[in-house]
Amino acid sequence: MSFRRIYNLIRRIEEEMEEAREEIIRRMKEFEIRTGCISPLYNVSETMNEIIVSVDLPGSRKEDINVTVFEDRIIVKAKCFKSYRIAKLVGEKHEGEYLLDLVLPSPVDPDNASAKYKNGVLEVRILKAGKGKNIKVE
Amino acid sequence: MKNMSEKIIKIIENEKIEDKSPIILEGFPDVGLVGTISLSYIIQNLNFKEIGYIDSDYFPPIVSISKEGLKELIRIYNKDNIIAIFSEMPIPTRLLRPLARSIVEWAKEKNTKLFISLGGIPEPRRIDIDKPKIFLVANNPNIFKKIDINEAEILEEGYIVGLKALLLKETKKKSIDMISVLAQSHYNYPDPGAAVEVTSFISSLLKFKIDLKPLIESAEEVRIKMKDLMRRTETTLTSQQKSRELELPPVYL
Repeated sequence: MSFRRIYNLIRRIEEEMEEAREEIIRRMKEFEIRTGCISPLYNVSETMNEIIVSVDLPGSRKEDINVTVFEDRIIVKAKCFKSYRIAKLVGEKHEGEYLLDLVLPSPVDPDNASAKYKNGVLEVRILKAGKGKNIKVE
Repeated sequence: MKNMSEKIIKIIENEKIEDKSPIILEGFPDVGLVGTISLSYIIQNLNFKEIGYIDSDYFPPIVSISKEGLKELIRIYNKDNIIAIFSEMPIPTRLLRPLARSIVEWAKEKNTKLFISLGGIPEPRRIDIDKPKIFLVANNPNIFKKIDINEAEILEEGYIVGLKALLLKETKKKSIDMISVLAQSHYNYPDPGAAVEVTSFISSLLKFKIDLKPLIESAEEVRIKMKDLMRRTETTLTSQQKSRELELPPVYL
């Protein structure tokens, strides 16, 4: 395969990935416009025992944040007290609501979860489900 | 190669820059949008004048609409021997190299005294940090003998990824002094708190006065407004292997 053909192939793959990313962003924006809810930015990381979900919720208050943890997903709802216009063509600015419904990367124990809200960022730490069994190393 | 990069990226000056040996500030979208927030605040508060833009046939076909009329997405501003390059568009990874080469060739033509890149460095424990630290990277360690680094720390090992890495390499090749001013930042959340620290460092370095109170007070609005740009920027950061900035290089040699 010539260098030019390899280059064109890589370029095509890059373009397809960009199209897929654009489609995700379009769907997210469409969700916001249709529901009036804000899709917050979030991050999921893991330690050996925990799953840590962090959610960017500027303009909210800890007493107005609702977190529900299931065995395999988490739902975060929060009021946003700063006026926000979801899109240029969608009405006036209004106080909105954040909504995140996220499937977790592995099963968790909802009874062992904690959450803190600091400087506009919510951090939820949930213990992973199941206990491991020690095995002897030979 | 020089001709190739010139063809791909065009730097257009609507007004001729008369500055002799200017300082160039760069704030392209990156980790936490720190450079973008900081530079837009400097441009707005110190009344920089828009004097040009950067364009390419390979950029997405977008124009920004404002009360003053149509605006390019990558704009060049100028005031008092300082040039600011501001972008409201993350750069597609395949265009980073030609963009860096073109900017540095242009900076060389302007006889640039110092090139300063503003940005963030990802800090996973950012939620527990009230005052982010500033880290500095230079393309030549001797720069630190010439400037006052105050409380900032020199980043002695690690990786820099993306446009800032390419600008550091290209400016070194062209013998232009360059530093990157990086504040500890959220990776994929707009971080005005980190931008306050970067702006404060720059104002002290370049000896201009700027009131940071409005930026501190409007932090939540800034984060909400910048959410969509952050989401788009995050997708380009992933394709640049940005997570390497969390790693240490294998220094055996």
